Amino acid sequence: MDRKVSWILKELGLWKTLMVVMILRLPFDSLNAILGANLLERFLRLIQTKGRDELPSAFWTFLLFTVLLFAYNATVWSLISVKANLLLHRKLREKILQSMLDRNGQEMEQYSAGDWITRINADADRTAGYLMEPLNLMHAAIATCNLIVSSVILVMLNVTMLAFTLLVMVPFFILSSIVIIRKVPYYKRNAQEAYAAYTNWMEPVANAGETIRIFDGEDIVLEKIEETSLKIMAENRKAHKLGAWSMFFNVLSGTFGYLLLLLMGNSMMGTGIRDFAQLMKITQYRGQMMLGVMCVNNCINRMKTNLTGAERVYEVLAPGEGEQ
Amino acid sequence: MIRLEKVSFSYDKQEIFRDLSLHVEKNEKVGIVGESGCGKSTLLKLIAGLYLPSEGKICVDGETDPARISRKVSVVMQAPMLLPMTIMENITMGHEYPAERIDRVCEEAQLSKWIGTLSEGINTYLGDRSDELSGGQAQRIAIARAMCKDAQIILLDEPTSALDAENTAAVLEALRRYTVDKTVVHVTHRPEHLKGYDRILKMEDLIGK
Repeated sequence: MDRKVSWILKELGLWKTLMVVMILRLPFDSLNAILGANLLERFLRLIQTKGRDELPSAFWTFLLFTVLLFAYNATVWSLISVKANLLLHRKLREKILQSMLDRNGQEMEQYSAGDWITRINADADRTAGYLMEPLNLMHAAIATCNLIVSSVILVMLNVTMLAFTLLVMVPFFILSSIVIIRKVPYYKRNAQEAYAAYTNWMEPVANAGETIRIFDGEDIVLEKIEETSLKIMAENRKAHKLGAWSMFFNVLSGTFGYLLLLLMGNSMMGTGIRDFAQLMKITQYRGQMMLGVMCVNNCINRMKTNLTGAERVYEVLAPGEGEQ
Repeated sequence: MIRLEKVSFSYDKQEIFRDLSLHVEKNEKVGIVGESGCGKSTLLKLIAGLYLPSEGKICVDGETDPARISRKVSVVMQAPMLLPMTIMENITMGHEYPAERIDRVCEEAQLSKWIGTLSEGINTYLGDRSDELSGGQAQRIAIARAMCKDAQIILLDEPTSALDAENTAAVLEALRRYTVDKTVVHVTHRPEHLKGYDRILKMEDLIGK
């Protein structure tokens, strides 16, 4: 977690809440992965050993576990996480408002009206998004947990497969999650600043309509608003472009790994893998690892975007520390 | 030139005034005095075509269409509205005017000295807050804007309310010089600001006549 986001969370007094929500959700994907891999292995083995009579009981057992797992996720965890999310939004806005009210006039003028409005709305939303929304911190932690569990199981089952998976995964991960998206926060911050400038125009347009009309200023006002609007669009487009490239390499790593597996699958049968059922089980874990990396990659992309909002909230809540 | 016939105006179902009539001739300078809240600013906005009367007729320089009337008048409001643009853009409102004209209105509105102290001069960005400037500076920019438009009809709503005594005298003198050949309606609660005007009317005298 970013240092500034961690500071905000501490200020809001929601560290424990976030940890509880995260711990409650953390094992879900790993358990689901283990369940899926074992289901596949058991089915294939039953078919191979002509134990087809046991297939229905195996099916019902796995179905029961899966339903229980998803029921927990969709009810207990969902309720708790929604409650925590709403609490986070409320506390964030209260804190920013309190920070505004505690300032004297000179300190208030540090930011324009549009900038304040952007910080209390869009930036607060981004901060909450970073912490609680899908494909952000929460999912990054869950996917990392899944990645670790799948890797450990893979080490125990077949080291060759783990080495092969890492060989395919790591270069793509570095490319898509580190190199390509490193400038996303910069563009997103520019877009947020342009959005603040755009918001700055809303008050004059609402309050100075008479002046604009008397002095025939509609053209220049529209031109100025369009300038800020175009700036928002241009900066967001640059960030989206990088996001799209990152996604491309992310997907490519999965496809590339799968194609290599198809090519090498046959020769792997001689490297300690007992039978086809076990190969499929190992492949499942490899798939879970790849899935974990792809999810972490997506999360990093989203978190980088939302981090710009969190940084702007931090500047308000921790005046004087914003440049650190 | 300016003709209001039995004009009534209500705002939020509350009647501000009824049967108000006013005639102002070309190049005439008319001052209108009255207590705060009696509808002086509303009257100016009606003349400027910014408000529509609930009853009666308004004709300004032969025009009755409010949108067209707005194009023909210049207004200095009590609370000047500045936009998040440069000083220059706030004065010209994006229109192309000769540089000499802009220099002249800045001089007449007592802005030149202050602009000279700014590192970017007349191209200084004002931000979105007029309160970053003193009330006087904001009001002088609004006066310069009104002068720059160079309309034949000038409507003034307490234009010096934010200025100190020295600046008030200077700006009123500048407005007096500038409006020699213009039609002026100036509403205020301070009759001493209306020296030299052709007529000074009380708001209550305009109603029901």
